[in-house]
Amino acid sequence: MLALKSQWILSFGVALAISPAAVMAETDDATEECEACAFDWEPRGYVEAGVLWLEDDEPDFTNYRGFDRDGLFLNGAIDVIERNEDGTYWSLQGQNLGLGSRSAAIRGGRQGAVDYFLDYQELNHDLYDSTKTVFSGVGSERLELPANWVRGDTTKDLTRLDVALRNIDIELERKTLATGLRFFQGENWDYNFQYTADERDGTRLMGGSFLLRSVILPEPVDDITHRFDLSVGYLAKLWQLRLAYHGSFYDNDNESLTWDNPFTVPGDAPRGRSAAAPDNSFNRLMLSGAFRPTRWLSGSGHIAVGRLEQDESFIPATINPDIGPVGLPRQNLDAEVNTLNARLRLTGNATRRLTLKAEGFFDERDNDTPVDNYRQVDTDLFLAELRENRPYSFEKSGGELSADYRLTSNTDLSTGYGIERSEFTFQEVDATDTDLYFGELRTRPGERVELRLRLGWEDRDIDGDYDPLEAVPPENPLLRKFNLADRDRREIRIAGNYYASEQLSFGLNSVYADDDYHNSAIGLTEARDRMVTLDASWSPGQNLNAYVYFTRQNIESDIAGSESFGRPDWFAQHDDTINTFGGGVQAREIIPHLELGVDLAYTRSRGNISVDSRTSDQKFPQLKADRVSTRIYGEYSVSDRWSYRLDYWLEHYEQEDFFIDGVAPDTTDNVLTTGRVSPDYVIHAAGISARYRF
Amino acid sequence: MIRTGDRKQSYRSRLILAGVIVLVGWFAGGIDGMAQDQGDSSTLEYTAEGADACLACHDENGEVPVMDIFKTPHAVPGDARTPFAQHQCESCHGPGAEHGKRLRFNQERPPIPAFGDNALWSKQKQNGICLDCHQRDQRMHWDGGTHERQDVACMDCHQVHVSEDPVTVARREAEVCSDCHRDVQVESHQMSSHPMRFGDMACSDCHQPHGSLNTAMLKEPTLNDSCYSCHADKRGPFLWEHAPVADDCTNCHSPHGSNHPALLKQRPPLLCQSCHSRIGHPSISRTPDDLPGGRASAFLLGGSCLNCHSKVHGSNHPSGANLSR
Repeated sequence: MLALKSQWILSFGVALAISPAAVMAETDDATEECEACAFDWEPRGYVEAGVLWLEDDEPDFTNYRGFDRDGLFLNGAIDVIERNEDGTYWSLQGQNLGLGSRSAAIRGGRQGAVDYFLDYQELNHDLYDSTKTVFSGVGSERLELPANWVRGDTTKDLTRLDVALRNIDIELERKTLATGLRFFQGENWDYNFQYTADERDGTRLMGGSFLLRSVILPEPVDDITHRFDLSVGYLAKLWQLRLAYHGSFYDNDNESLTWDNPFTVPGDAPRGRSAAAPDNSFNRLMLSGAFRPTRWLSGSGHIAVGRLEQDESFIPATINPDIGPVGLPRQNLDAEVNTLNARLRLTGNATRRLTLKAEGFFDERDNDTPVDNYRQVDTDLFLAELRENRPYSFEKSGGELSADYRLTSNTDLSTGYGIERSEFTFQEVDATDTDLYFGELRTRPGERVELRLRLGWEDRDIDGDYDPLEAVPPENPLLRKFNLADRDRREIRIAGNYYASEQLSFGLNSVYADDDYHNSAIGLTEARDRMVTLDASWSPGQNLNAYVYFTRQNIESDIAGSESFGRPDWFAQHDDTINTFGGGVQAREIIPHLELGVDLAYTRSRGNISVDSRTSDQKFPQLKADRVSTRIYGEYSVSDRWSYRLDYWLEHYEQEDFFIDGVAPDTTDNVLTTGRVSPDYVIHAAGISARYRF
Repeated sequence: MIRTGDRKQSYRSRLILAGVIVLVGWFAGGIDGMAQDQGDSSTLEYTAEGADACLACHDENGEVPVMDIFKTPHAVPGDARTPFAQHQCESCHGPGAEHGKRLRFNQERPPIPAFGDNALWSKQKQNGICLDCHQRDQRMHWDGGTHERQDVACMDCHQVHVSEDPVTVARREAEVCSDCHRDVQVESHQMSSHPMRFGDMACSDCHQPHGSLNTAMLKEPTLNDSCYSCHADKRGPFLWEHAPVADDCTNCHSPHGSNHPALLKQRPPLLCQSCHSRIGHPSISRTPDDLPGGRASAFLLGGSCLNCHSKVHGSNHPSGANLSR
């Protein structure tokens, strides 16, 4: 199906690629004589072919790398370009041509007159290997149990489970084809057109429930997004304008997913059905511009109006034959969301030392979707209450005034103040107001040292009351959703560089951020993010570069809850610490004709979750993920044209994740899971190739 | 929907008004006083020989090899806009007669005006040389942008005298960005990440390093529009919306990498319990007693809340109000 959909796109792109001459404008070829200038008007580039070997097709390793199995792969690459004295050019590039992450690009045109391109890219997203399912029809919209399946109340009662389970891979493939054309008219006008088709095919996991029973399903993915971008720009000496259209059209080949119910449940629904993501479209017109009347004053801005629409036909409220048809207030949602985004920035040098900046923004999501009451059929089992849909709108506006002051020739001070107001519909609060302040010092106390210190404050307050939305059962009135709650944010950033010599430098970058939800008794009450990065690089010459780095990040969250529908009676802390060490060396011609490179990274992640309740204070097993990645390559040139290249990858990855480890398909009584396990592997991969340059 | 009369609003309105008045006054007073700085390069002269003079000293064997520039779009005399259709090397480096003149014994060579050791011109002015030609599209927002205010120079990221500028090659772009943004680059090594580590996705797929008016220098007007570029299935609008999704994807996701699946900021159920505490199972604390060997609770294990509420980005099923269909 992918190939069929892409055919007309490809034809259009090729047609575009071979027909630019008609719109090429003549340019003046006159130039000053230059005897020493080594202009290169011949085709040049390289062609590479070789073999890759992969020890094992572990998805965590093959993910995005393009391997779809283990063993040997033929691989190739090409990069050819020709430029001519009159400005015409063409190029052809291809990478990973034998792998599932292949990409290719054709470009051409005439500089300053017309440019065109045709790009193609594949991307494999390998999610899980050896995932287990009892269903047939994987990849389709209908998942069926084996004919002799015996339903049961819990997973322990599924007597045919063991014989029915089989392994499947959960993976997605994305193919993107883009083509475009840009041409210039005179010195002022330019016109752009770009079309992109983005196709996905594969499966991912989703839960399908029947009240308190559920089964993890392989959900099919088969969709395409068409994107069109057209723009026209006018460039004058002191100002410019651009009018741009963006259209995005999402087309899902799947309407729904229907699956047999493996359980016996009250109401006895034989099958369940969930809705797939609906087709939708987004159209946007944007006008952007900039002006620079003097060297000391400039401004730029944009205003964009858009409309998001969705009118996919509803699927039935239930497919349970015992309930029968359930009336719907309409056959499709006829959803319409209008968006308005505007930004304006003015920058001016008030004096030689002082630069002022003023910024303003307005973002609106105006949801005009009709509101109706929909009778709910709870998980295809029983009729429940009428529910009114809540089309969500918001309006966010604000601005910032800031100033940069050059204190000395080596020291700059910045300060700023901003405001933001956000208004919402169908939310617990009507609006929030935020005040932002920051101060920054940038200094070079010596020839070899750079320092930067930034302090930031944010104070977000609810305007009015926090009124929980009506719900059955009700929401705890002490809960504050963190994206709407009162919040104090503090941020400190310290960064610096020390240049020990022209060859050796050291860097420091650190961030401390604290979000305090001071009026939230239940929900997220505090979040902290601390990060420090140290790095060093050494470049004793054009032929040798080396670098090392270390990063430590700690992310903590405090969450409070209440089982008694009152004051908080349990408190959880979520704490992730990630340390990353890395380094690498690139050396060219240290050994004659040889280029060598090594890149190494070790990431050590630890996640700690603890829960302190009235009865206990318990810690979960630690979440662990250790990844050691090594890449070594060498390229030996036997002549000006021929070289041979050797690549080697070694990756060790080990994960411990109590959410999935030890959880067999029937471990939980009421959810039939997929038996996923944490990856734990050491994988070697190698490649050898020959490259011909011309 | 809009509340007015809030005391905080009134206070801020006055502050903004005062700020605007001060801003206008400063601009008006400052511009005239600085006009004199515009002619600081008027006394410099170009060489008589053009590039031939430069290449007599600067060649492939120098500290910075330069000859590969003749393989690039900058060295196309047929394109009247390019440096080699104008003053050749001096189109970008500035008039070089003084720098290239014959020196007396022990005399120190005067620096070239732009893009060289001890360049005469300021970083801002050197950036202006590039922007004179490369000012269309998003570069119109360079002035006042984060990189401009942090004194980032074009040459900090770009190389002109090489056949292929690494930062313009999608698979190599992140190497350049990580020189300053190492903390972001290392996140791609975490348990879940976008395909940055393999070069299949470039920083500039989402960000506009040449200046943007949008949050985090994003290319699209809003953060969610950036995400919907590749994830249009999450765009809806759905019959049953999950408001935080339409509000801001980063309410739940860390786009550069995460220690949790699907780039989540935390693990469910705690991520969900940050915003949901209704009577019944959403309010119950999940403890190690819920692990295998204990209760083996489906409210904790596997996908936790997502075992049933799988349509967290929104549902278009008429009976999908609780996001499970």
